[in-house]
Amino acid sequence: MSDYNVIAGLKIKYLSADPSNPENGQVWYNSSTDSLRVSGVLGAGAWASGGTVNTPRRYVFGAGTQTASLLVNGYATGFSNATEEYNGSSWTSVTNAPFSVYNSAGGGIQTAAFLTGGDLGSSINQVTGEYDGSNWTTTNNNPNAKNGGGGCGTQTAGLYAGGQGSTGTQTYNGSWTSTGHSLNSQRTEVACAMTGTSTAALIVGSSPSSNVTEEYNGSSWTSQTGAPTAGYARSSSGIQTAALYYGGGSSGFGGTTAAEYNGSSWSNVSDLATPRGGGGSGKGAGTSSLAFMAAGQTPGPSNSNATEEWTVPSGTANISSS
Amino acid sequence: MSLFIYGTATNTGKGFFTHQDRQDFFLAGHPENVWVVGNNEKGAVWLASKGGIQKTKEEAQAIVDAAVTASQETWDAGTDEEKLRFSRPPNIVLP
Repeated sequence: MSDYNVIAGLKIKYLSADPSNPENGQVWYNSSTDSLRVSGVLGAGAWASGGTVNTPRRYVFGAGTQTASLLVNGYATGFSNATEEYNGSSWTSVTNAPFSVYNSAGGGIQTAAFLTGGDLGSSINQVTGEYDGSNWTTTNNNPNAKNGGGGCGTQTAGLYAGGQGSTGTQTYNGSWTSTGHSLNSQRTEVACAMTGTSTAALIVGSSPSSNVTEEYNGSSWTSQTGAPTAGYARSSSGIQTAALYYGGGSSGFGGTTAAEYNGSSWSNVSDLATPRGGGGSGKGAGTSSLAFMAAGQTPGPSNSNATEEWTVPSGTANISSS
Repeated sequence: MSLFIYGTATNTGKGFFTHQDRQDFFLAGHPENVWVVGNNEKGAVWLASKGGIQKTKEEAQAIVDAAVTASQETWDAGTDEEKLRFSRPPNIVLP
């Protein structure tokens, strides 16, 4: 058995009270409570309500983090170009996107997002839009864009795959390039169901009802352990080795289930409070412990204005020798 | 004692239900602001504190059914193109 100071390079401090801002993994002895303490212990995650979106809609594009998010496009009473920003409490309508579609996909953060694809009604949108936090610009078209393909990554290193049963994969850096790397399974309705980066991505599910999971390493897609539930129109947050998937379902909108993927296996976590599919999420800009789902389609009347925020709290706990 | 209480309450956004609420009691939202709440003290206090109006299970189910039926009728009246775009809303059975 090794000693803590050998492992951590530090001796355990003898303190009369818990430190005010301990680092994750820090260990100390609290003489007042006569206990050995450690910080950074993860609690139970749960979904809490967030601010309501201004334009309820489904199959919407999401990007960013739980406290700096972006929501674009979707199907409201018709095809929407609505764009909203979230600050962790409320959504604000900002400059509209240059196209009105639903099921567009892409990635990035609130101040540097990209998206393409989606249904224009009579055709598929191939225009690519970039948002800088204030304004939209259009860049090169994606000739392989689909309705409901998946997107993730950043404005300078983006990834787009699948959609309408496609297995195609394209990278984005201002221009689109077909990689020639095909998904092993055709994918439909996965706009928010691909997360991670352009060289370490994860994609889950497909319409009408699939739990198939694949990982991308920049060179090829490989099949992995299937998600606990089958469905489509899921939302996602995190990276390839620590991702959270939620919502969607076998009808595209009835699911409340959420599950975490650690790079090899799945575990169910607490459910959403409101069943929805096709909601916006941060994908690769979010994490598996801080995520959000905004808007989407509910099983009943249709479009939701709800936001839910997923948080896994980090705290301090006693260390027991037993 | 039943496992759940039922009621209607408008989701007001941030803070309507918290992380702690989700730890303290079961909560599931349904159409027309119908909420199914775990039947314990904290669940009951939450519904009351949100201005919720308690319903019987049958009343809550009827509200949801009316919303779903209306949604299904709208879908049924749509064009083939519209039907291909989105699935028909399914029935919802409250727990």
